[in-house]
Amino acid sequence: MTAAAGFLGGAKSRLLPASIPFRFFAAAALFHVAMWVVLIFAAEQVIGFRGGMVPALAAVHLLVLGVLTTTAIGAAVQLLPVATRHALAAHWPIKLVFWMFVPGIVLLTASMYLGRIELVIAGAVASTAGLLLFAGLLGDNLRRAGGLPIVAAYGWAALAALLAVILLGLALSVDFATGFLRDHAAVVRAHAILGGYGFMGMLALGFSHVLIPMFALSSAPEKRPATAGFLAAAAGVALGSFGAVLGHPHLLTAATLVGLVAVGIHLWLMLRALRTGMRKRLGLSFILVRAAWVSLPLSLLIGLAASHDRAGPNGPALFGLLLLGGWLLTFLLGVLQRILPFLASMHATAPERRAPPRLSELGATAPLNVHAICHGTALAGLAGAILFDASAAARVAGTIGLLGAMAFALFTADVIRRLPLASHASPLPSGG
Amino acid sequence: MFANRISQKLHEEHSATVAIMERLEALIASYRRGPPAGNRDAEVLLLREIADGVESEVKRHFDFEEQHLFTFLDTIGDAAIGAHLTAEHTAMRPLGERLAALARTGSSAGFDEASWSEFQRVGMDLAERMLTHVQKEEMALLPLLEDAMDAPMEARLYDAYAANA
Repeated sequence: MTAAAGFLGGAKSRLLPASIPFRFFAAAALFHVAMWVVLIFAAEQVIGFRGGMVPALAAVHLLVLGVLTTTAIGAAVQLLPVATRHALAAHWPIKLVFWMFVPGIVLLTASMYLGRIELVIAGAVASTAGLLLFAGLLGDNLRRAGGLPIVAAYGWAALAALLAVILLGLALSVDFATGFLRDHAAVVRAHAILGGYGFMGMLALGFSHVLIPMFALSSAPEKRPATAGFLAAAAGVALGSFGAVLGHPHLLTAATLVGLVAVGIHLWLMLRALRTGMRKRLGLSFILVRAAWVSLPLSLLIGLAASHDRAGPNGPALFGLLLLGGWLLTFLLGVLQRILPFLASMHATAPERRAPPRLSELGATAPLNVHAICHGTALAGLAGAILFDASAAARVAGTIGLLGAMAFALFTADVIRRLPLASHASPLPSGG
Repeated sequence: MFANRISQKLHEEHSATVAIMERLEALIASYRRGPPAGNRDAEVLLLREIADGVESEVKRHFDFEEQHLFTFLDTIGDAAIGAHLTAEHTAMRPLGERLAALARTGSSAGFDEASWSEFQRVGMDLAERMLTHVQKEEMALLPLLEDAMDAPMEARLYDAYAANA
């Protein structure tokens, strides 16, 4: 059984009610819009951001928790049970995750923006509670994912990174009030590596082993190189995290080199899947995916340069942009625009003498074109603004990014609006 | 790629179908505003390949799956996948038959505005449905057959496949 085989083989019985995953996707789309709004208002700090309780911190957490993690939760709770062929025991814990995590992010990021330290801790506690419950659900499903060893390995590594990132995040939020940490900046760096490359990065790499072959119609990546890629990725994250906490530049260099090996293996496997896949015309979504693949090794190289103070005064901000915006956000949006209509189609029931809806009937494509242009322009503009320390340019780039995020939110809303169409399919075509 | 000979044969047919559908999409995209001006050899050949390929897919391939494979899956208690894929076949059959007829006429007599417009509409509809359908069969049906079918059943169904080839 291939990794994606479960999508149809009894998959409908393992599909959650559409309202459950789509509430996470809808929330992520709104956080995406909010992130660009905050970025516009905090443009001066964003271009030179190195951490600290400033409004730019709210933009970073709206992106990482609001967009990336919220989407990852929605996707993981839906895709994993289908792919592993093991349904979740109950739906209420996922709803509870949503109602703890999403309001927690709102409180956390609003208080970060306003600089209200006591509320930051409350928001961190609420979102942490949601994340811990999600970690339990993820762990329970991974335990039964024996048929997907590589995906499961990435999943376990992501879970371990999630627990570490939660711990460090809580410590950082308390440290804002008490100052108990000896080196706040070092913990911030470890928190960023564990969150970006550890939790979200490992999930993205792991799910790629299912999703990219599924889209390209190719075989699953070979086990040996995939295992080597996983081991290198996990070692890179571990080395990087320890190197950051200990403030050890040689460890960070070693982590980057090991990380580059992992990225090299991963990209080789993914490009091989595309080259050998039946589908050659993969459309707009894969322009975003390919751009993300370029950003991933670039982020490591800029990170390495920044750790040795060779990336200019705004090097850390450029590193953050490439890691979070260029790699993770771009990859996620590329994949999400294919998953949303596909997931909607899985909820389709075809009554007698009715044709199942086409994917293009389940989501408008025009907003995606607008989004792709705006997203690429905004990230390129932000990179330029960071390099030249130009806050006005960052504001313009942010406005373009905001338009793109609104277009993507429109697309998400359109898929949700058309969900009933999926269960009231159109009459059979006559062909004439 | 597949040890099961039926899965492997269907996989090879899917590969050919995806290639034809992608060429169909490219042809339609090349002439968005109106029909091809003259009957160039390459386009005539492509239209004939589309007609033959689509006809083979919606008749022989679909019929074999419905008459032999889905009934087999039904007997082992996995009827849902067959029902889902049969519903998609039912939606695609009239489109495929119409597209094959239009492509055959177009290859010999060319297209006017009305027939090209219909070719575009039916072709895009079929291509989108077919590509998604192949994706589902590749990811779900073929591995399921590989897992569920024993050697005697594989031999019997392979003979049935060969008899229709």
